[in-house]
Amino acid sequence: MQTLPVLFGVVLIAFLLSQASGSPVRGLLGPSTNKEIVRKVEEYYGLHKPWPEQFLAHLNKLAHGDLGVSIASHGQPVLQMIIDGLKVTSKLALGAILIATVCGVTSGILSAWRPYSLIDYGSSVFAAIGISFPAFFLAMLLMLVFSVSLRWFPIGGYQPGEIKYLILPCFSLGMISTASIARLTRNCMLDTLSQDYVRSARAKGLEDRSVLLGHALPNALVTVITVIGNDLAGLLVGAVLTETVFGLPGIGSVISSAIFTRDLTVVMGCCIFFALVFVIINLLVDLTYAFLDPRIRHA
Amino acid sequence: MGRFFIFVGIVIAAAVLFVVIATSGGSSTDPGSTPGQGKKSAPKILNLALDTDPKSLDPIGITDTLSDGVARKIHNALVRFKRGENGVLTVAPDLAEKWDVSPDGKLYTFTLRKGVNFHNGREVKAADAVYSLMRLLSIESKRPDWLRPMVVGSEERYKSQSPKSPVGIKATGEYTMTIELTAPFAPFIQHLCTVNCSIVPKEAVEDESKPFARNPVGVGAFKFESWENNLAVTLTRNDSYYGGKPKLDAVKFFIIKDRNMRVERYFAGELDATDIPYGRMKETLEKAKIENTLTYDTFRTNYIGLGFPNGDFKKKTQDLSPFGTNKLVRQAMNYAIDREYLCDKVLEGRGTPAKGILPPGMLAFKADRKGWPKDVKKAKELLAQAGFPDGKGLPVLVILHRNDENTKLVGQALAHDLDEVGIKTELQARDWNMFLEMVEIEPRQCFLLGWVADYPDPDNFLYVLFHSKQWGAPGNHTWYVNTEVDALTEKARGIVDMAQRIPLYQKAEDIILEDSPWICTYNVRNVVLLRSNIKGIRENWTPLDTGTEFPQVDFAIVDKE
Repeated sequence: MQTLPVLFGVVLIAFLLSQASGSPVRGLLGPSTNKEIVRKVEEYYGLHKPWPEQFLAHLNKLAHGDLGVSIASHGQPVLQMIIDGLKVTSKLALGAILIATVCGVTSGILSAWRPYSLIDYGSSVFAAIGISFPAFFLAMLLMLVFSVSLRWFPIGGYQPGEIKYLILPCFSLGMISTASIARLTRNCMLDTLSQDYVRSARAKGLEDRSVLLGHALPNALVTVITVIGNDLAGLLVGAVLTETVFGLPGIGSVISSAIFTRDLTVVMGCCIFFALVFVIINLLVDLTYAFLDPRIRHA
Repeated sequence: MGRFFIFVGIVIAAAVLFVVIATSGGSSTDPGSTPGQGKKSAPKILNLALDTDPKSLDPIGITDTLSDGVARKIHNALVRFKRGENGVLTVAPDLAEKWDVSPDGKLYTFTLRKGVNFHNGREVKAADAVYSLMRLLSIESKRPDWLRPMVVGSEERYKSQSPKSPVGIKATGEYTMTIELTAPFAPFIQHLCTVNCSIVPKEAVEDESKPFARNPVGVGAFKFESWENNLAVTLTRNDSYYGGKPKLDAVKFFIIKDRNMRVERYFAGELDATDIPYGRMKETLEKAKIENTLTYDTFRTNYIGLGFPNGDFKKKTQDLSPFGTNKLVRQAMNYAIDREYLCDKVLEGRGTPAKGILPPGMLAFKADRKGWPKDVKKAKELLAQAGFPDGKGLPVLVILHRNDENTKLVGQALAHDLDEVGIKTELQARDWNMFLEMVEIEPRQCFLLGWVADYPDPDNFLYVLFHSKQWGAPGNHTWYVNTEVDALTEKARGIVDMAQRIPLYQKAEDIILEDSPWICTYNVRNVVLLRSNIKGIRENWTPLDTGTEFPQVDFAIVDKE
């Protein structure tokens, strides 16, 4: 029930901001034109109407599941553009979050197993680098080393069905999330490990492995899942800089092109999609909480 | 431990899902394959790069050179430009095998070739040519000015959008048609060479299931195959092209936004041609070797525009004096700029110093113009004569420019030169949309802009950019006016004989250069990588070409050995 007002708010704000940024028509017409041509083309796209009328027309289309057509891309359906972008971004997001989860959780477990050791300090340094490196810088560095110099991977671009084009982008994006997941896992596990019931369990002879993986980790995961969920949602709405560096035709490229060309319908369509992504991901995270934490399940 | 194993199971399942979806969805966009080719020897695919998606492949929607370059492989018009032996561009037959012009210069009669088919198999008739040209006057057309107001009835048709409003474009037979003008207009036949005047089939345009801008059907050497946003546009050979079966099997345009990535993918063997990143000219040319490069001059000119306080503006956001009011100040700026350094060092050879408005090779170009060699002393003397010794008393010159890599570099170099003579500057970058809007709503103190010739006629420069009827969006962004220039350019466009037109344009240019609404900086010279095994482009490029798309080259004869 809360989803509809959220979506309406998103659509309204996106519409108002797009109106404020100006008409997309001038950029379509080239350096030599005249006011009459601009007016005629605006009339063709319905942009000459008062903005409340335009907004109601958009809402009417949305109510019928029609996201409209792109102005800058001369009639391409917005829904098709989003689906085409999502086909690439979903693969990128899934790969990145897998790398982040596996590397981050593993690193967190090792740090919690041997706190304040060389492993723990190494993980801290790694986390600091991962959090402070700009996404595009890491992407360019990886491309320079592994694509340009070593030629192990393609120099950007994308071919559907070819996993080699996704390895470096997934790794680049995954490393940034790895750092935060690693630190959070470590801290949550150490917090659990310092509890009285864990000390009691150890005193009674319970194995270290069971304590770490059976008690400390599941409790830590309740919090880590939130971060994984937020990061996944963030990746699904498009890692624009990484997609730009690697030349991937994902949803980030779709919306960044739409913004620069003032393609109102595409911007609004993408905003609705992003809002839906966050709503759905939040729901999945809440369900996972219930699964991981019996207290929430039985509440 | 149970929850731990479930967590591990979910991660493994997600990993399997990733591998499955990442390896699925393969298609014929692999550069090594061409649709319908089967397993034969490697197909000849010319791999080029674009820095962004084309805006449109519908002739009436094209206003940028990139879309033009792609669309020209798919579409043909009645006539086309051809490069003669002496390098001069002439208008040559294309879909029209011949044409006549009445003695009064107002009636054009075209005879179309017989047996030429669209990509959908249907024969091209005169009615198709009439339909295609009339589309230029529709409400969605981005270039109605190729026909209006010179074609009879075109102005009324465009204003009213009424199908009943008569226009002087008619099919007089199955393969003949006429176009009637209100008055003689010398450049008109060149308008018909533009991609916007290409001939298209009505049934494909009106097929609502396939937006024509993204699913073009034409007559050209290559057929449209696919267009994946931000990825690639693929064209395949038209085996029944009227000009002869093309040598290439396909042309593929990869969308690669970053210039450095384009050149790296060239060296990795994925591209056959590309432009060269700024700051890497020397190393790139050394690595590529001379036989794999192509240098060509273009009809593109860049300039500093200075706004004149003309026109009716209730509110001026900037004071345009003295730059727009004092000729001596503008002439001083001319001598302050070091064009040689700009072209050699800043642009790394991607330009030649401009000595006038018209670029070299353009009709009416005067080869003996001296230009403005850098002379700081002379510049300072002129400033002193203008009442601003060493620039004292001059306001800060705000230089508006487009926010792209090339213009920023040029802007910084120009600012440095002007500062040397005492003219303080402030560079302001804007994105393209906003920049155009700003220079069109009112005259700006100063801006950096360029002009790309649509056709090789001096009218396309001197009338379009300096006549007072062209203030603002039509092209005269400086709001310059000189009644003699107006009269000369108006007279010249009404004379069909070029020999009589040339002296008029040369006199007009002399006056404009004296008034200096433009500080002409450089003419663009393209330096690109082009593999030596690509034949047909080096021999046939024209100054109207751009980048590596080469819109004017007949790609039917291009080969990849």
